[in-house]
Amino acid sequence: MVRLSEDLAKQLVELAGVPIPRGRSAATPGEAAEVAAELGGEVVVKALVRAGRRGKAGAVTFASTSAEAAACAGALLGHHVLDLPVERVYVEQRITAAQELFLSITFDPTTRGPIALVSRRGGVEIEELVTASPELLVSEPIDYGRGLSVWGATDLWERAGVSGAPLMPVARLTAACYRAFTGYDAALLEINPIIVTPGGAAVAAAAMLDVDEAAIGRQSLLAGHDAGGARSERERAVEEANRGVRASGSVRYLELEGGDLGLCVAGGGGGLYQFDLLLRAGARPANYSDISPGELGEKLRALLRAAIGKPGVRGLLFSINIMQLGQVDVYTRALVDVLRELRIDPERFPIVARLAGLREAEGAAVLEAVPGVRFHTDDVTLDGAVAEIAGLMCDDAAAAPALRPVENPVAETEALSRPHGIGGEA
Amino acid sequence: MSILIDASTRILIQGITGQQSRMDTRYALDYGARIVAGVTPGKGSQEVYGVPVYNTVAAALREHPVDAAVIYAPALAARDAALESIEAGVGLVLLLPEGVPRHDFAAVYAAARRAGVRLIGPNTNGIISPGRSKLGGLGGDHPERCFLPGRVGIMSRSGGMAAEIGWTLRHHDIGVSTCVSMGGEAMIGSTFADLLELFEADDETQVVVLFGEPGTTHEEDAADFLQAGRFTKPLVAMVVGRFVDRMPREMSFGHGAAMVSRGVGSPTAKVRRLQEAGAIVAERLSELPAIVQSCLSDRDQAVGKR
Repeated sequence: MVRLSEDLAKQLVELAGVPIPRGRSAATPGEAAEVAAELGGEVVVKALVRAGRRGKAGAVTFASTSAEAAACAGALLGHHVLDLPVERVYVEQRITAAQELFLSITFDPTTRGPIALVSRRGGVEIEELVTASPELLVSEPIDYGRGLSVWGATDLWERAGVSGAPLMPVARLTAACYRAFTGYDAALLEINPIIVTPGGAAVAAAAMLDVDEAAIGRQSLLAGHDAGGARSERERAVEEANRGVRASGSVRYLELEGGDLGLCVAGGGGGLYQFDLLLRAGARPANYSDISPGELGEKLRALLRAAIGKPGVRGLLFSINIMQLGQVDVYTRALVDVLRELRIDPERFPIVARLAGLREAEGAAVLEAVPGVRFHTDDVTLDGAVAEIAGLMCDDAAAAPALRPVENPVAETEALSRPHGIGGEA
Repeated sequence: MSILIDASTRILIQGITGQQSRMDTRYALDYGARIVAGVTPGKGSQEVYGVPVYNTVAAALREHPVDAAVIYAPALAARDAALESIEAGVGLVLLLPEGVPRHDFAAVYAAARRAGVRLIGPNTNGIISPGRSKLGGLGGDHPERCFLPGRVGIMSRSGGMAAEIGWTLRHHDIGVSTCVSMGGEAMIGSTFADLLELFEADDETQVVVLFGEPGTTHEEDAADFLQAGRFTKPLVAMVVGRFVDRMPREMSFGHGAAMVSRGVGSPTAKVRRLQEAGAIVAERLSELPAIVQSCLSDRDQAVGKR
C-alpha cells in the first residue's frame, strides 16, 4: 500500500467533492507563519508524517497567531514523530466542532468487497471508545456493483446515531469519500474526524488515503509518487530493476538487519517455508526475497546481486519450488554472471542451489564455469536444501573472524565488507 | 469425480495467443485437457495448436459450449476479461494474473457472485485433476512428475507449494483428486472454506491437504468450517511463515496477502485454531506422506474396505 501524505490526500478527496478546511503545507517556521496569516484566525499545525494516531503523539498542535504557528512548526520540523522524521508540516484552518465523527472505508477480505465503518464518536479517542463500547462502531458491507449512495450513507449514519440537520451533509461527504475510494484505487480511506460545525456543515478535518500499489500505474495524479519508507540502496536497486526491466515475472528483496546468509527463494509459500526451517536450523538470513516466475531477465540478476552483495553475507541459498515451466539454465546463468561480477568464489562462499524445472542438464552445465556451487534438482527436497546450507554456514562460522578474539575491530570490519573469498580473510 | 473440473470440462483460453498461454495450452492439450476455443481481440480466425481463436468470448461461445475460462492478461486488463466471461455465462473463471488491483477484483467478485459463477484467483497457478484435465500452468510440461491421480485434495495459497506438495505425495505413491492453487492475494475468488465445501461433497476425495501462509483469516475461517461440522473428512494443514510472529515491524512477505499486522493473521494462531478444530498439522513436507497415508488408511477402515 502507498500511504499518501495528508496534504496530497486532502487535495485528492477535495477533487472528488469532499469538503476540507483550507490549508497548505510548509517546510519552515517562516512558511508556516505565512500560511497562517493567509488563512487568518485559528489554525492547526500538523506534522506531515505518513502515520496514523498523530494526535496522540503530539503531532497535531493549535495556534492563534502566525507567530504561534511558526513556533508550533519549529517544534515539529526536524524532530521525529512516531519514529518518522518531520520534513514538512500542514497548516490549515481550525474548524469549530459541534460534533466529531469517524469514517473509514476499506476492503473486508471476508466479504471480498468494500466496507464502511462509522462512529458518532470520532476523534483521537476512537480506539479506546470502541473497545469499551463496541456498539459505537457501525459497519456496512458495500456491494461493489451498487456502491455507496447518498441515501445508503444516510441510512448508515442514522443507524450510527446521527440525526437532524447534520445528517444530509455528513451523508453527502461520505458518498463523496466513497467516490474517492473507488476513483483513486484506495485500499483505505479514513476521515477522523469529520467535523460537524455549529452551523451544521460537515468537513473532513483529517484525511488518510492508502492507495493500492497494484494500481499506482493507472493513477496519473500519483505518477512518480515516492512510496517513502527507509530502504537500503540494494532494496532500491531491486525495486528499480523490477519496475524498469521489460520482462515478465517480478522479484522482491527485503533487507533484514544483520544476518550472513543471502536468500534467493521464491514461490511465496516456498520462501516462507524455507525461512521457517532456516531459523530453526540456527541460520541467520540477511534478507527475504520472492520471485514470481517469468522471463525475469535483469531482474533476477538484480536480486542475486543484492542478496549476495549485502555486507556481512557469507553464503547463499538459491532454492525454488519445482518450477514447472522455469528454465533452470536461465537461473544458473544469472547466478554465474553475478558471481563473476562480484568476484565470489563458491569454494569459500557456500552456495546451495536447488533448481528443478526445464533444462536441468543445461543448467548444470552452465555452473561448470564456477566450481563449488552445490547444485541440486529434485534429488533433494526444500528441507534438504535448507539443511545443507545451514550446515555449511555453521562449519564456516567456526572459522569466521567474529568468533575469534577481535584484536583489530576496524580491520575485521573492512575484511567483512570486501568481496568474499578473494584477498583478506574469509 | 474431482472438484471444479473433470475430463469433460470444456475450456476457453482468454489471451491464448500470448507467449505464456501458448505454452500452457500446448502442455494442457498434451495432457488431455479439452481446450475448445481461445480469445484474443484482433486475432479472431487465427489458430493456436489447432484451437480456433475468436475476437470475443461471446463469438467463441456461439460456436462452442464452454464450462471454464482461463484468463491470461496483464494485471490491469484482467477485470474486463473476467467480466466478459461472466457476462457470457461461463460457469468457472480462473484469473491467473498477479497484481490485479483490489477494486478490479471486487468488481469481478461482485459480478461473479450475482451470476452464480465460481471464481478462482487472482494470482493462481491453476487447477489440476490428475489424469483428466488441467487449467493454467500447474503441472507444467509434464504433470506426471508432480501429480498422480488419487484421493487427496490439495488447496494451497501458494502455487509453487501446490506442485511441491503434489510431488512429495507422488514420491510416496499417493495420488491427488484435485489440486487447486487458490491465489496469493488477500482477497481471492475461492477460499479454503469455499473449497472445503466442494471437497466434502466429492466422493472421490478422502483427505484434504491445506497449505496456508501469514495474513488474512482464510485458515481461521477453515477452522470455523470444520467446527461447524461442514467438513467431516481428515484435514492435514501446513501453515508456514511462523517467523513473522517474531518480526518486530509490520512486514509484507510473499504474496500480497501475507502481511501480519497487530496479531491478525498470525501463523501460530492459525495453527492453533486449526488444531482445535481437529485438523492435523504437519510441520514439514517430509512429514506429509506418512500423515496423509495414515488418514487414508483410517478412512478405508471406517468405510469397511479391505
